[in-house]
Amino acid sequence: MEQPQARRLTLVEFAQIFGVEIPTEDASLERSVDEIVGFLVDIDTLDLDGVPPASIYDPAWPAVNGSGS
Amino acid sequence: MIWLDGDPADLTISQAQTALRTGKLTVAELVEATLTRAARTEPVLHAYVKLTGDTARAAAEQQDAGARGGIFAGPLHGIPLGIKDIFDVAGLPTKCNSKSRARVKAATEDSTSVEMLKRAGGIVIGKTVTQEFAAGVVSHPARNPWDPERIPGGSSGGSAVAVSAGSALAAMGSDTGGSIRIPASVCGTAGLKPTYGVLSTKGVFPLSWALDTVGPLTRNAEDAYTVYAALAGTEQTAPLQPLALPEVRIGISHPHFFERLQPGVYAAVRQAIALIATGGASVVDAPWNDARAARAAGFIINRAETEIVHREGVKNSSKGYGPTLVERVRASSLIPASGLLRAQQARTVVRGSIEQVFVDHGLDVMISPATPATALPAGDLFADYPADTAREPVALAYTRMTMPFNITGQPVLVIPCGFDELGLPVGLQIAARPYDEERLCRIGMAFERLFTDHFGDGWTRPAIALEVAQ
Repeated sequence: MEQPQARRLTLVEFAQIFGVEIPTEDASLERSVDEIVGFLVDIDTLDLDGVPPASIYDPAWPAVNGSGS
Repeated sequence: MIWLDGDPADLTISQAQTALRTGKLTVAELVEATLTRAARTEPVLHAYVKLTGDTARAAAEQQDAGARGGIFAGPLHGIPLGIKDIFDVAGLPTKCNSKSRARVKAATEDSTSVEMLKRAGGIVIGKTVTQEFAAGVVSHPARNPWDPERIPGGSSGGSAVAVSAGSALAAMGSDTGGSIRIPASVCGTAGLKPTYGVLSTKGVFPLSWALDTVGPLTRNAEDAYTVYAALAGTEQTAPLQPLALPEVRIGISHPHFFERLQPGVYAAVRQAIALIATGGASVVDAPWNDARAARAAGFIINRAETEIVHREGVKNSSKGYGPTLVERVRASSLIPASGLLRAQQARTVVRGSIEQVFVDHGLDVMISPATPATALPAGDLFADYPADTAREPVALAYTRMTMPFNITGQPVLVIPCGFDELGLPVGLQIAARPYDEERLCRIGMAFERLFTDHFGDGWTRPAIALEVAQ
């Protein structure tokens, strides 16, 4: 799992490629970026290997609602 | 009966229907009472961006004329409704509380929700305050009826204020990360987020297509189902009855839903759980270990899609957008494609894991606090917890309990369950199986009976509503 600080650095460098600077004096923007990093790290706690993304989401539960709505 | 010696503005929908259909009340009287309540509370609470008294009065006269001939419009006959200002209402501009839409033209058609509500007999009396484009939880300038120095939550803040204060009998909200449930919780009303995808969002300004849900804020669970059924076009053949609690199996999930809580929230919810158990329901531990990741996936999907919705708007009219939304859009532009895809993978995983929790434990519902903190002061938008020095920004605090269920898509009801030490309402979140809205609301009704037995009649009415009642 990528550590939060490393993930943040990656994100900030990524932003620079697209001309977006994350100035440390802009506390609110910096905090927003840190929030995103924190949540990306939380997602990394799951085993997502081979899992298909739910890009079109069906909330049905197969065992309860059948195969889908 | 309450409506014979009380103010019609304080009626529930079911009480109003009985009064209207037995000739004890006319629609004109009900609409006028609600508008009078709005005139008395709006200078302090600011629930509405626009009241439509003349149109509402005209609709009321028409319905009363029909009723004299024995014609009632439907299950919402004559019910005064507030509509969150991200829903199109024909003839009114949808401004979304954004200066960027200050000169937007009036909508030419009703959103599907408003169309369905009108078809059921509902009368729109105004458009309610939202957080800018429904992206946040403060809902400025609306204020909390329990303490006007505090926020009403959001983003459907004006709708919750109107229902709580009596300037609407029900109101529409939208819920992408908790925007119906959060204001319901901190204003002491009921709020229902239906199963994702069940109700049309046509004519509603989007925040995040993968998560957006519309639903009602009402005075109780029975009314929430009545409005939901009208929105879904479901015919209700008999009044909804509370479920017998011995038939109900309830899960409590630690740790996510019971960590970092204000003491008053913890105490009120523990007391509610004890009352529910005493009432005969089975209450079992049912840990859902993916709740934190579910919340994270919801956050990432929500933010990535919000950025897409608003990127051109922020570029072209950044002066018209508020600083909070501009910052959110700028930061969200940095979410990598892999982050969004992993969030969508996570959605697949957590849908499976919450289903497994419900199946393994035989649950009807899972209950938790709706928010970790009650209404926060408008001038200090951080939640504090004992034994934790880090202050939590309001947007993160308020969505911590709600957002996991946006990502799973389950139906969730919030009802008031007690008060904190300041006398502010505490909300109980009740999450059910997909498409189980009717059973969910019947369980909510059973809980409400227990809470009313404990606290007494009228316990969910704020002082401001009682003070200005006719």
